Amino acid sequence: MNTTTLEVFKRLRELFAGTDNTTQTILRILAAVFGGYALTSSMLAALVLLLPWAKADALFFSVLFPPLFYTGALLWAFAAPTAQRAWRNLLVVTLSCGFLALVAAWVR
Amino acid sequence: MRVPGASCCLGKIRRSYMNQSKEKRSFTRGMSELHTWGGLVFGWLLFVIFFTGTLAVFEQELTHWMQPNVRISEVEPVQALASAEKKLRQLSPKADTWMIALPQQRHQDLEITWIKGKKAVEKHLNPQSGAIIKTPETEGGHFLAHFHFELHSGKVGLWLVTLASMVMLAALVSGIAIRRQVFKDFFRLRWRKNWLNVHTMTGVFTLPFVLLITYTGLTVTFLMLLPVVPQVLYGSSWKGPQSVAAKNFERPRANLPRELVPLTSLLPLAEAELGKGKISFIRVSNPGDQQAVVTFFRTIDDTVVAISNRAIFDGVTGELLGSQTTWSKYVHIYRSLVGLHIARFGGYPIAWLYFAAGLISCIMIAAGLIFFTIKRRSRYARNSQMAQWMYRAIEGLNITAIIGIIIACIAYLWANRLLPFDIKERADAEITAFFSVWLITLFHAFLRPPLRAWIEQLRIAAGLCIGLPALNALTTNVGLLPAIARNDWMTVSVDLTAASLGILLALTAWRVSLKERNNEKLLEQQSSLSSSSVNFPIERTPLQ
Repeated sequence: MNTTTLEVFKRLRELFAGTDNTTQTILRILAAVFGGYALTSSMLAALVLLLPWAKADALFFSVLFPPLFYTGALLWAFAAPTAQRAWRNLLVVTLSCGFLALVAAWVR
Repeated sequence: MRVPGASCCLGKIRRSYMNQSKEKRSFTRGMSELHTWGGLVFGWLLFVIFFTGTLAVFEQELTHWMQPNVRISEVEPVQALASAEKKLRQLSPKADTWMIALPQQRHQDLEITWIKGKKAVEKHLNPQSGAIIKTPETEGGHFLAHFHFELHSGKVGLWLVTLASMVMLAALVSGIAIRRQVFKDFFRLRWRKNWLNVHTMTGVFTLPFVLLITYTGLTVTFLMLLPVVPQVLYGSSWKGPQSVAAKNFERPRANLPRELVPLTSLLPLAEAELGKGKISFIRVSNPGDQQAVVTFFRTIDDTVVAISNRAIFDGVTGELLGSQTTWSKYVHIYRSLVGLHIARFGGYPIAWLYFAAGLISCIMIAAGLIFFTIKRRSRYARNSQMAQWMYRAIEGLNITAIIGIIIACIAYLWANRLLPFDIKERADAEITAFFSVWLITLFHAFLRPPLRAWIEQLRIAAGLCIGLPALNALTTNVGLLPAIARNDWMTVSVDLTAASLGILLALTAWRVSLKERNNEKLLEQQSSLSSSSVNFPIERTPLQ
């Protein structure tokens, strides 16, 4: 690994450890937008793969949920006591749903 | 008597209580941060989306108004179809696709489109004579409807609108979380005349509407934006939701010329499948080829489910290939949500209800934005240069987003009447007018003192709105009186609605100018009372 990549990693780690108000807000916004997208995607994937329905039914049923999931993630990111907790919460749910989806896809 | 355990226990309780209150405070703080800043940054966008969306309820009426040469008296569907068919056979017998939109209640013109390769040509016909009607090119109300969900900038705009809508949902939740007593105040009629109260009271009043419209809008955009479900279920064989929901009868061109069956002879058969007088749209694929397919679509104007039932015929033999009048349960639910969003299902009563609710929601958003600046006015006045500059920018953007968009929309209608009849790319020129006027209001809002800018822009908007019927009467023959005489209520209602909105804007302008005069009086009193100039200056700032 060269030094610039290391430098970027260091900067990112500093950013993600930041506790001042501005950094916290930036982290929350990033968690809401990108974490929310990841969370919605993985929850939807798990949902449609776990439903034992015809594909078309699962597709049009799944359309009802993204606004709820994404908005929920947005609210959650701002409700968490710290931005780091928000990131951790979103990551845990995203990864576990992603894992569920993988298992469901494998069982199919 | 002290019990050793007790204080420890109390301490524990106190500590846990303190923890709880800290958690609670930070929750409220987080919610209020989200509501304030999310509401500000996306509030400008949300006002624009809600205002143009509100106008888009009357998309068809606006389009009708913007095509003053297209005025058609009612005819039987068969006659309209015969005229359209004759013209299409004559003008473009070898097209890939023909499309015919038959006259409907709120869409009175007969429209034909033919597509060859990537080129599509659209014409308006007189259904009786079959002659082409020359009318100025325009996007009509369609532009506003499209602008309200993609801001004239494709996928980027769609994402922005989606994010704004989610912030809207989150702002509703967080708004309730930070001010729980608003419901009590609302139902006890504790309505005060300040901007915060206007914001919260209209907010409670339109809460069900805003929830409905935002949620249904989001289900539509997410199907376009989130590729994960189709990817997981269909992989690379995905061809869009339409191909999953509807049966497919289309077939590739055979390049064997065959005579197309007369469409008028198919109409009664299609009406037997879909209902008499309910056909709104006809599509012919590969006309004049052996593989021609004719599809009749039913109107959606009388049903909440915004999906067209259809009957499909072989274009050579005229036999019924199939029909689709029932849909899967979940397609039904999804398209009902779409139907609830586009508000075509209930005719004019529902359209006016949506229009009114939309306008009140606009007031709610505007009041929130104005309250933001009022609350911080005194704080920023004593702050650094940077903070003052930011405050000024917020004020300017408020004016541009709230009054600027109103001026831009009404200027779009003015441009429709004022641009020369047959300049090139006329439809685009109207849209350019919309954006240039909006840009001018932005400069104006930053160059003039805020309160002056509010008053001047309100006056301009009011003048343009009230002047619209006059402009219409002067430049066309569908002015107020002739339109009433020929029962053309669609044109009349656009004129009159614009004029009444103009009167409301004029009243607002008058109220704001009273405020300005009061402020000036205060300023005079202040200067006569104080001998030196080292006083807190009363800023000339807007509203309240």
